[in-house]
Amino acid sequence: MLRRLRPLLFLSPTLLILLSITLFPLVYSLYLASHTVILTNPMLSGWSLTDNLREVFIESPEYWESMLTTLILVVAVVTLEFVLGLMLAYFFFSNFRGRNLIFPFFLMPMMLTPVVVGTIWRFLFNGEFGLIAGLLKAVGVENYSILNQPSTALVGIVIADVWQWTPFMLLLLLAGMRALPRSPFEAAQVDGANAFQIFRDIMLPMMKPIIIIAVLMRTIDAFNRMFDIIYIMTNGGPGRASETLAVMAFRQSFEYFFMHQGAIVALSMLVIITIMVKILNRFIAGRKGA
Amino acid sequence: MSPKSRLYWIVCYGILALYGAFTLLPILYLAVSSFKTQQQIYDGIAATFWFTPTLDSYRFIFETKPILQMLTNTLIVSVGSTVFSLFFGTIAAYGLARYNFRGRDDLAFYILSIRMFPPIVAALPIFMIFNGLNLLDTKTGLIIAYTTFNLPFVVWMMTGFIKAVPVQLEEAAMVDGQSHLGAIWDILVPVLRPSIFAVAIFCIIFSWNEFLFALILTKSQAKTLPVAIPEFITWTEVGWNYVAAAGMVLVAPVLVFSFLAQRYMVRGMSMGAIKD
Repeated sequence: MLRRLRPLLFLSPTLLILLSITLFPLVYSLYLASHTVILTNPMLSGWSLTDNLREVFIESPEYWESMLTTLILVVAVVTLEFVLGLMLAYFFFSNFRGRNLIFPFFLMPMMLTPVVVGTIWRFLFNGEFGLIAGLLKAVGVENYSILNQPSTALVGIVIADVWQWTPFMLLLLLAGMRALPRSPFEAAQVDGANAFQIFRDIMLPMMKPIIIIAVLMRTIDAFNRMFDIIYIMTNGGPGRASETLAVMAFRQSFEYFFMHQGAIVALSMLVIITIMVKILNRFIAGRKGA
Repeated sequence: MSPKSRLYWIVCYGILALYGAFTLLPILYLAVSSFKTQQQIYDGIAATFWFTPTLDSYRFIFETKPILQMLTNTLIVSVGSTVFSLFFGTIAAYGLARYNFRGRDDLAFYILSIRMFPPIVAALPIFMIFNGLNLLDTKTGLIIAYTTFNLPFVVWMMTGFIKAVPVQLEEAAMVDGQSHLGAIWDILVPVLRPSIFAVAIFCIIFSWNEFLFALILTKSQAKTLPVAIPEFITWTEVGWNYVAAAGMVLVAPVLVFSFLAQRYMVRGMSMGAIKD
């Protein structure tokens, strides 16, 4: 009996901490979502779940616009990062002199503070003195900044995110390539397959589980953390052109002080993420079992 | 692999050189801008990398803003949260790695999923709760908040690392008369030391770079450096050289640390989902 309680002894402090910093806030979030909580007007309060839900999901298009912005950004960055990451991983998979020397430099962006990354790109895109504006000036375009145009602000954010997170894909996909067994490649070579056929018909299918894990991890992370660089590059603007769900939840709560609306947006993100995490877990568990 | 054609190597080197330039240029741009005067920022594209460097921007930000205090805050909160999470997380990981009990995998999954939840979901209620507990704008509060992502990371990573150490090592020590805790301390911990070191580096980097919690939960006393960066911008857009200097102060230590953690990069970034 005592022996069966042992693992609990090791786990209980962590579980207590985790429960208090997740379950308690979650319950509090549900409270926020179902009441009227306006920081600047503490007199207003009371149960209003259906009103709140209607306000966020039905009465204004803002939530769905932010959802669309988020989806566009996530799909765009994950696709680009995957394609670029796969290409770079393939090159780093081949042997050349200086490979191990230059590889760490390709990983640098991933470790930088996202806020600083956003800052760098904000200034690179700056219409007055930014490096990119300087190049445009050379071809006759004055004071142009893509971050100031609603139609192109997202492009700027995508570039910054791709710059920071392509190294993540490179790192994971390269690790995946290195873990592949040798013999299928040798057999294909004996059969006279060319490099592209080997890549398409042997390497990619064998890497499928790792590709799925890498893409899912990046998707979850992009969905969650599309905040820091946007906050600093555009703060969701111009207008609401780059307001993702995370930025919307933040602005509702801390710019307009409608805590209940922020909580509803945040909780809706939680639901979506929970589903994605469940799928991810199935793939990780599947790999461990194999 | 197979010998590659000439064309392959031309394409390979060409794309690596292009992408390498794309990767390095923004970092270099940050670095050179931090050594310029405000006037030099406007000197045009030809002068981007050709100018007389000065430390004026660094001097200015350290004199006019409490950079040192914010840097200390960032360090204390990062190390504090890392030590706290490592201590409890490693103990919990031992329980998950060494015992088989009903619901263990579900429990491990619950702990992992906390790491993947949107931070904004936790940030809103934590703000309200800290407001009630007078924990807003304190380093203690921020350390607690950072535990939400560091503790699950430690548990998940260390479980994998402990599982990789054969249990026979501890059992042999216990047969020789050592207590269970004695065996863990004398046998297991020394073996795990490099793993603990790697996990610690990742926790410190994650905390060091954190922005959302720090933005919401601190004002002045416990403010960390990442939160100060946007203030430099709203302060005056033309102060790019000052922002760059502050940015350099923030990222330089991270770059050093990340080279130290190089060997563990895959495991740390994929949380062990992909073995390196």
